[in-house]
Amino acid sequence: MLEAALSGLVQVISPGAFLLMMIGILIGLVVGILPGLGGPVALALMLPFTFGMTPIETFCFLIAILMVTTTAGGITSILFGIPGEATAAAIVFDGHPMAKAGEAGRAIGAMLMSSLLGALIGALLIVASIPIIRPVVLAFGPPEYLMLAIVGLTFIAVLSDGSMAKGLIMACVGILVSLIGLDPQTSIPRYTFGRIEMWDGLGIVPIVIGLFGGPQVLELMLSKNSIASTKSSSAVSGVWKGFADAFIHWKAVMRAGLIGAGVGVVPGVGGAVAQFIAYGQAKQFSKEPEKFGKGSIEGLLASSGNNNAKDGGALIPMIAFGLPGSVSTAIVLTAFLIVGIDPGPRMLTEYLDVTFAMFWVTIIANVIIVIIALPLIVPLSRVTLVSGPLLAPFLLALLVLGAYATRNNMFDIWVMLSAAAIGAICQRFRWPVVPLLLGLVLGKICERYFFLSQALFGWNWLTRPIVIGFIVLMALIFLRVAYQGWKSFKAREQA
Amino acid sequence: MATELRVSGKSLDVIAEWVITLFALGVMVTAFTTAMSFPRNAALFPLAMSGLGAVLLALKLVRMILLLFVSRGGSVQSPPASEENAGMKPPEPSYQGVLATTSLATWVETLVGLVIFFTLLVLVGLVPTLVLFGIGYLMIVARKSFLFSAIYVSVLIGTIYLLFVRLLSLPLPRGMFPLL
Repeated sequence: MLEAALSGLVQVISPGAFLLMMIGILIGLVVGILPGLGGPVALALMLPFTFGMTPIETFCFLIAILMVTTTAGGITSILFGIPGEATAAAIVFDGHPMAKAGEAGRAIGAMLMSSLLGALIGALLIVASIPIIRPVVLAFGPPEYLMLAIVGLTFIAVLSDGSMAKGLIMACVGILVSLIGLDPQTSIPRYTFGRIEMWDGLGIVPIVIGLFGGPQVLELMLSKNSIASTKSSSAVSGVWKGFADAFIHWKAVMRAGLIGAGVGVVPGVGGAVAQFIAYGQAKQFSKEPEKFGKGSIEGLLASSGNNNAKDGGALIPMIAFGLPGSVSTAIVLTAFLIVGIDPGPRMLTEYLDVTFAMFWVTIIANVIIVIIALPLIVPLSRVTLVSGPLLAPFLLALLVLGAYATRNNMFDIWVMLSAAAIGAICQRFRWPVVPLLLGLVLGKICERYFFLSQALFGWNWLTRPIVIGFIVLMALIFLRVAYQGWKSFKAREQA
Repeated sequence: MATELRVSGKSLDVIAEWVITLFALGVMVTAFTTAMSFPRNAALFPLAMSGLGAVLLALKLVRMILLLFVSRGGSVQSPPASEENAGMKPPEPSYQGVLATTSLATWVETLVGLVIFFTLLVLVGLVPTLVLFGIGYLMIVARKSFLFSAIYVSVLIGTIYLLFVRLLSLPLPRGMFPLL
């Protein structure tokens, strides 16, 4: 095993593979920063270039793109409040308030270091899981996927900004929106109003961009001020402070990384879920939960620490069984076929060096992106000091391109615009938007796995051990929320 | 003056709460009745979610009506009596962000700008929109010179073209009557 690990490392740092990894990192950086264009788009566009490459070169190139787009997606979330990807939405909650407070450098530094540590956790999980992965992944079926999605929904209780009723209502709205389109079982159009564009449902990316980015751009146009109201004393020291934050709050980063890797392992649940679970648990465990959503460093670390770990986790079922855990890994799976490797048990024996090479790329690519981004952080954070009217045309173009890029459809721009209006109304009149997004992401997953569970096991799926474990976990989450609510009520009474 | 502003902001919040609740209730009820016409399995989740949403909103509405009566009754006996003061719930700080404090004139100016941007986008596509809107907006709102605005817009369009069209081979929104 050690020999395969070393062989993998030597092959990754060989000139050809390393050069391709660097090219992948640069492409990933550019694509990741552009809102709406995430890892799947970048990988799909770059896949044809892998013809003729060796297996190691292919994975150096593609996995570097995948890792870096995920990391870079957080940069626009912090600077402009416009998520670079759907999986970077939670970074907006605390990253953008930090930028507004003149701490953009610290926020980007913390996000980068947290992503790196998360990637490390994901990569270590790949290695540690090699001997035990088979029974773990096979223990998960549709009922367990369903329960994992429902666990994600229970975090509405934590992320409702103190108004549980409004949170539940918004979650219902989100789930209803996720059901728009053709019903997967009967192919009956639901809530499509006779429009063919809606048969595939509403895209999550335009909604995320509109919901979070729209109100920020509107605020900037209205205020005519810069994003940051105060100038940080030293942007450079802020970056190092951000790096240090990731180590000071190592427990939050660790938990986020483990959650990301754990959720990533489960095929089909999707990375958009992991960020909310990580963020929700960080809020629950924090000593200062009231700061979440207002620029909490713990919130930012949790929402960014899970991203790369999730990608590392998603590689596990793909390597071991050929089961892609996400759209991105489905494209990487195609690359396996192009280079003539069948994913499965042989990846753990005959091609163990290739498996280890993937492990090394996830770490090295993230270290390099931190080094590349280091000189860029200060100029990037200065963008937050540019006046609003000067940024407005640029940000409007970003909103439009972000919404349009995924499906090249004007309809998505209207979806983004509607989401922006809803986001602005919710922000102005204090209706929480996070539960809406949770419902939107998890609604369809819940429906799909509920019917699959019913078809396979009837109601007996409720008696499966892992399902019972998840039910206990949900009960504990609710008990903790209730206990915290009771504690704050008592504290108010005494005051 | 400040007090007047706060009062008007508070009453706007109250009115908005009623409007949002009633509107959302209408949406949920419509979604529920629409879902009744779907086949059984296709209707299960839509019925459950719209039903749950409608029940929650109806309960919220009932609570708002009750609070209205409580606060009216309370105002006769003791003026400050309210839900917050009764110890039921801590006072929720009213939103003091830009969206609440901006003047009507600025709102109108911004919304007109946005309407122009998206109308142009639909009609002529992204690139001409950025040229027309970008230069106009920068000159009028940001009070920049024509030269500065033209250079800014050129760099922006050039970067977008290079990244999206040349590097990633992705199309840009072209509009109904594309000029470019």
